[in-house]
Amino acid sequence: MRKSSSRHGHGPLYRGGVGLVWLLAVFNVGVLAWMGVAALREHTAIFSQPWSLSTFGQFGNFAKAWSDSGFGAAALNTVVLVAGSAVVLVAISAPAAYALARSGTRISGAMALFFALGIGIPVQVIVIPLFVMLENIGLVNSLTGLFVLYVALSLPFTVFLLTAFFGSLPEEVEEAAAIDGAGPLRTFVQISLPLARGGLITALILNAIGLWNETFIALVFIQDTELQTLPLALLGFMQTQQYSGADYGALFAGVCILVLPMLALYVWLGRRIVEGMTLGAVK
Amino acid sequence: MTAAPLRAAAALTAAALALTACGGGGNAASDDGKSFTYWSMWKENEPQAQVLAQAVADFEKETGIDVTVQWQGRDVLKKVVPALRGGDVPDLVDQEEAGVRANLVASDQFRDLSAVYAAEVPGSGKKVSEVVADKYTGTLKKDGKLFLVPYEIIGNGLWFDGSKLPGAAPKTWDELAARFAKAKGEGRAPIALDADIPYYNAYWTVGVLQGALGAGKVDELAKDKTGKAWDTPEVRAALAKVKALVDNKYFIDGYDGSKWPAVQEKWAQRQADFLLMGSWAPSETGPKAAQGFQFTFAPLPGAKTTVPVSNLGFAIPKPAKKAAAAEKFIAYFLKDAHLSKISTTAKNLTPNPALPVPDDLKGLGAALETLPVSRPIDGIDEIPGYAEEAFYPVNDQLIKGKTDVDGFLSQLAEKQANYWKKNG
Amino acid sequence: MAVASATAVAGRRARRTKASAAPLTPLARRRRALFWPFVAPALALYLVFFVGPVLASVWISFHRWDGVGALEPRGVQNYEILLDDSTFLDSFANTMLILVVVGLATFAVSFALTMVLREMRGRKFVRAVLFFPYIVSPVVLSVLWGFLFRSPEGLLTTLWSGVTGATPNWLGDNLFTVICIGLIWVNTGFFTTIIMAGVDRIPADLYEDSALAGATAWQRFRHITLPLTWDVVATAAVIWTISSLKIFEFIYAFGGTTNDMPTVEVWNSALFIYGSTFGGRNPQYQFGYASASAVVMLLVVGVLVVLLRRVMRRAQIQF
Repeated sequence: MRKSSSRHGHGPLYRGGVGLVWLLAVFNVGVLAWMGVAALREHTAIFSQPWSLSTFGQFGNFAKAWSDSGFGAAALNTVVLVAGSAVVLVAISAPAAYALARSGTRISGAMALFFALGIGIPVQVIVIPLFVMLENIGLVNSLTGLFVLYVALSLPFTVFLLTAFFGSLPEEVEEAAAIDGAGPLRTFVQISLPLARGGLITALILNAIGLWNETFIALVFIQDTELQTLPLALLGFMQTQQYSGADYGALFAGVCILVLPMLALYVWLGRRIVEGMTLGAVK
Repeated sequence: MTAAPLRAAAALTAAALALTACGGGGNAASDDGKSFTYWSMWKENEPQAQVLAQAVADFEKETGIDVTVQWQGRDVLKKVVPALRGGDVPDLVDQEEAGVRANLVASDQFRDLSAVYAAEVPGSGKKVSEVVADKYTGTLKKDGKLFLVPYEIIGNGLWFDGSKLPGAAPKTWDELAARFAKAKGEGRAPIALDADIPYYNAYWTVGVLQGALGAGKVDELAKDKTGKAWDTPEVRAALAKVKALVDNKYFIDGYDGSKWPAVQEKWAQRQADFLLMGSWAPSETGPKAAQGFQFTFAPLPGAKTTVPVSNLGFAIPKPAKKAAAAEKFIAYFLKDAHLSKISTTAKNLTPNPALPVPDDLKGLGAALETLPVSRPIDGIDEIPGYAEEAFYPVNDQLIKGKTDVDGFLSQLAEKQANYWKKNG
Repeated sequence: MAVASATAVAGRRARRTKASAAPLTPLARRRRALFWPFVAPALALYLVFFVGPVLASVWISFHRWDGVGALEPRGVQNYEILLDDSTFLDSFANTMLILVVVGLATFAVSFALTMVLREMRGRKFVRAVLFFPYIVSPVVLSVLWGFLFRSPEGLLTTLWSGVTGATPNWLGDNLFTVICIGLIWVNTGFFTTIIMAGVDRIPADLYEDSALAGATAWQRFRHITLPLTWDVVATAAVIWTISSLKIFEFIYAFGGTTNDMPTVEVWNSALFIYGSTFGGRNPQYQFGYASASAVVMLLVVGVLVVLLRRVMRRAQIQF
């Protein structure tokens, strides 16, 4: 898209920069590849020759990781939970963010900041009051309870993100729709939401990634092993290293089971994240 | 393109809600003696879990009591604590005694198990207190109430490859130091240590101190509010021995820049002679050991040699509703038929000295018959936060050669005073 | 990213507030009617599951509490002890160090990357690859990071000694530095994407004109890139400030086993809170004390964000 003429006149500094950037990219890919390779190697070899391919082909690592820690049920729980909470989260946050971005009153500005402050609160601080609360309404040790928590605890970031996003959308189209007689609700659903698609998908994916990896809340609130999520399964598996011995091959296999779906999602929708971010920034 | 995934996600949400609607119910039933819930520190495929699962199955068949087992893994007690505030707590849990002490005993949320100790192990004609050796239960009391019934004993000491280092175990510190010097002279690394784990570093310092002062003395020093009680000639002499290990470069190269379990596995590959570790050493490193490796145990020698031991066992949270049935199971598990499998299947030591000892732990078993016991790192890790905030940071510096005895003492005094100022 | 325009939004909102003295347009008036129905569900959830527990924590911070027994009132004693507790103060210093040093480095690297990426071939691919650490669980990343920096056989250690001849003991001697570098690595992808979004909207001819006029790369950065992306940078800085305080897993996973806290020298305030409550082999469960430290951190964040916004706004005027 950019005219090729803008590429002229690059000094050695720039070319060096390009080299470094590629080096960094290669590093990132290399790290990922190394992990994938290690997941198929034998434990002692990973430690004694971390950078070789010896003992490659231990597919049993995946079987071991999968069966030893109940990854099967955990995978189903996690997919359902993460997809559900990310979607509901965006569905609840979008109208709120829209209202905060568009109403332009003093109270909406203060409230946007009020939501943003929630981003900075470490969950360890509020976990005990939360537990008491959920205990009282019978939602401890249930995926519904975890779902409610995931939605509630991700709200601040999502509202903050989407408020900025709606704020960056041009108002003219909405005004035109209003002049055509569309009500504000219809304007929101038919005009603003489709316009904000990039931002909504960005919010969806960033939250999905965050919740997919979430460990602490699940650890405290889920007791039944049949209800555990993938990070819990991986954590439990890592902990059996104490007393029963480490198997880094199987450990990395478990890590791959956790990482690969997100990687796939990212490869599939990653362009959208970047577009969402970009659209949001361009007024 | 957004419509399709959104629709799919919406369908999944509906499925999630449907799925979980049935997950919320608690078990409100009262104690009818017909069932109980057990949260275990093991994951399902570990050997201990298999032994326990077999016992649970037999127990259900013989008594008709229904046992619900959750293989929670090592964080089991972290899940129990939030539930103590009126939630559904399990009726039976197990963990290492230090964990039980921090999570249940400190807040007085444990059930006194004296009744279990007085009960008969089914079919044996013996009481539980007669099956479990007295020397292990000394530390398991708070205000005279017993909070744990052990089923596995962990002992700490030196491990080495008996096939390569034959001869009697070193009886005194000087003998041991001579072994180190000899190994070093022959170009071998005398000691393996994963120094990224502060707890393991403390094994050395506290182990040498225990050998010099006797059991329980380090714990007393740690509880000194000023932090100055450490500065005695005996402590200085012991610390100087530890410092000498560092100065003589007895620890294997790279011990302080590695990630666990790399170094202990180098040891199992015969790249270093000795490893100071708990009796899980054979099971943790066994599959990675060099061919013919003979796991051999020797207590860390000192003027007052002790064997630091820790108990893994059952505890019952105070609010448990079905404690009676759980207590019945504890006594049942101590039957020889089940408990002996902790030795034969799980390859660990049991608290019943009459049961067989696994081959790898023969030396430990013998040492425990004659020597007095102490607690691993003298129990200072059970003073909440003390080890993390005061002892470990200073001790790490000593073990990694970044400070000397004077520096150790002055920094520890400062950090310990700070610790007690806020926790006093 | 979307948030990148928050400052711009704030500016527009200010303008609009001024305009609101004038009669509202019909659209604006009808939108007002929707304000509460739209905000209510999110607000209710937020109040119940977030603000409520936070207030409870503030209340708890004036007590001694093990999470199970009764609360013992302590007045402001927790706070007095906190300000005199070297463990907390060191953790606090580390938090600030991460906030400032890692933050500045992340932004510098992100800007540098953006300047290079702007014109290079394969930029989309590279940008996607740089973002990747952000999607992987921090625990996994730090396991990898440890492998890279192990001494003497880690990959980066081997490379380093190949180049310089020395074999530094990264994890033993410079653990915090290694952690900081890791944090820069993880966060760079995210912030590069944000800043790049801002840079991408600068018309290309501005650069061409200035290049023709003989401006150096630095001058172009100073007089074009920086001023025109300032609002984006300002918002990104706020995000970083708030989220840097919560950095936890990446540091935590340097603790050896899954049971052990890392050495207290690398704790930040989030680890301090965890260490005072659930962390370690034998947890402390000091919820009152931990809550007090969280309240202090929250206040600090609030002040910092306000200050930061002031400074950024003033700087913007100078351009």
